[in-house]
Amino acid sequence: MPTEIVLPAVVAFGLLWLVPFVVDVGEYYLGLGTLALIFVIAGLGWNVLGGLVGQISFGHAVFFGTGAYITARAAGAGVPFAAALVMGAATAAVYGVLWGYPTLRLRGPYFAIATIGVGEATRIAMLNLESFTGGASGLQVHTGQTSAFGDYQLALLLAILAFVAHVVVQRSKFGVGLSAIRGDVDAASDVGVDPARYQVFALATSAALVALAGGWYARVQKFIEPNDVFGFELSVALILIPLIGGLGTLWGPVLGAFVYIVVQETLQANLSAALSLGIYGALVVTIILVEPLGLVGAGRRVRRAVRRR
Amino acid sequence: MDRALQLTASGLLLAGLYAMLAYGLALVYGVMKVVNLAHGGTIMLAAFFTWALWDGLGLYPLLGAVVAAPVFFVIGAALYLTLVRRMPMTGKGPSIESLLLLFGVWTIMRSIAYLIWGGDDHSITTATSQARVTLGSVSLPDTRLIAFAVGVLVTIGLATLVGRTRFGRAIRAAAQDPGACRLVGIDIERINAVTFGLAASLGAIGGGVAATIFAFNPEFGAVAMLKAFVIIVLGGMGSIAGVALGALVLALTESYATLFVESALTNMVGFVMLVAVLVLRPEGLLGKRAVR
Repeated sequence: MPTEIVLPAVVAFGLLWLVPFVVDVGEYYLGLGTLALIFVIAGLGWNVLGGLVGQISFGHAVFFGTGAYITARAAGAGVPFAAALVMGAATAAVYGVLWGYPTLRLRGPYFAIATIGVGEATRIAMLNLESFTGGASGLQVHTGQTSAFGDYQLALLLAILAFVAHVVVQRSKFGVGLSAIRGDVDAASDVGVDPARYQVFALATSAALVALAGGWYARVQKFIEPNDVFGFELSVALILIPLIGGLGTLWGPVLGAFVYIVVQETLQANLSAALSLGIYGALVVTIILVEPLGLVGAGRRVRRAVRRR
Repeated sequence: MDRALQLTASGLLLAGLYAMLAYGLALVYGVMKVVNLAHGGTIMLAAFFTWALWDGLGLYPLLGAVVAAPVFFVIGAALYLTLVRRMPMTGKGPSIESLLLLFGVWTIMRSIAYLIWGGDDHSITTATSQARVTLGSVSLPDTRLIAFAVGVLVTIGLATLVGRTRFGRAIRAAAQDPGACRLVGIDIERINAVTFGLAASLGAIGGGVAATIFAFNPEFGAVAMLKAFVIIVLGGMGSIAGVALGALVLALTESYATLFVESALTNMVGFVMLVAVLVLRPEGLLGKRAVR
């Protein structure tokens, strides 16, 4: 891994690790930090498919929900939590392959629309599968003894894992293939990149990462319900995060997740949910029209302007 | 047998409404190759608009839907001229980010509805809402018969506009080759703006009529738009006959599905069908290959 990635990563994650030791942030902000890290993981996961391949999914909550429910159910049945997380991620990856294999032949808006269909169909099915999900009244998650501090540090560990996974995917030969597919799927297949295999594998990776986030979410929230963890709103949040930070960039989802959580908290504290919805909408419109690469793109512009001086 | 007849009749009537919800989406896609994710927002806002005219002024809901058409024409055209025109494009058409742009617009529309009307379910009930017409063993609500009639009128009107007028010819030309249109002096920007406005007013009539049948809230657009998507995917993205057929297939399938699954799951039927059709026949039931 080149130093231009390692150095800022060590600084950023090191700071995130140190802060709760140095400052007494309190349980509330620690919980918020954990939530931000969960969204870092999920955002990086979404980005593997949406950013690197350019297949925009409006249905990634299906993986978050799968991760949350499988992890919660397995942990509730006495499986060690780490193993329960892996089970959640593996199940999500398999589910991703199942519907990804046929749908990933579609491109652009067609794929995006198909994911809305998959997402809503899954949500409705899960809402009605009461014996497993608890239906609209949700599911209490039994994880044994946990602490806010430990949950934060372990979430950070998972986030670093997701970050490394994203780097490895992005910089490998596999990642070059994904980038070729993003650029021109026909040209990519002409030079020997099998779009179906590459994309399905990207979706499986993406699904596993998002499911890890979902599993950790179940652990810290202690309560999950299908309309929340399988909901369209969550799928949208998973798009907003990389979009705010910068679609397809490594740091985009990381920055985006923290901005998203901060904005979410400030808006909810001061404004109605209805108004904050409007602000998110305006944000999306502005980003697309002004700087499609989000904060990372804006940062690059600033750096270029400074260098030109 | 009676049950089957009843389900067929109500499916048929529903198809008229579904087609109206889908025409706008198909029109914009056909002309600009843009999937207008804000279309559901237009339908939802029009439902509230019709409700507000009925609730506030006592205007007959069907007239409300008629009033909504020009109002939303202006909104749609303005949306094109201010935002959609500036959308990032690639060589092959609008980039994938453009989808997110219109998604942002939809989000703003939902926010507006929440701010003005709140999140509760609204519905329009007039003195005749409960009236039914009975023909032999089949009994049908008046509101649905009216919705079907409006759907047929809108279909005829749209087919005439696109097929028989000078403007319609320009639209069809723009759908085929915008570059060549510019060469022969057709103002593409104007065509696009009018198309966007027209699509919004079609969605508005659909939304206004839908409000007389279904309860709705600010999230109403999601269901309406997904149904519209299923329909234009079935119909092959961008022909009036295709959309009408797609609407019929979806409405009948949903109607018959009530025989086999709980009513809570009937919406799922549409979504599953959407994915299946996208995968198996992305060119639609009538369409040619290689539309992608």
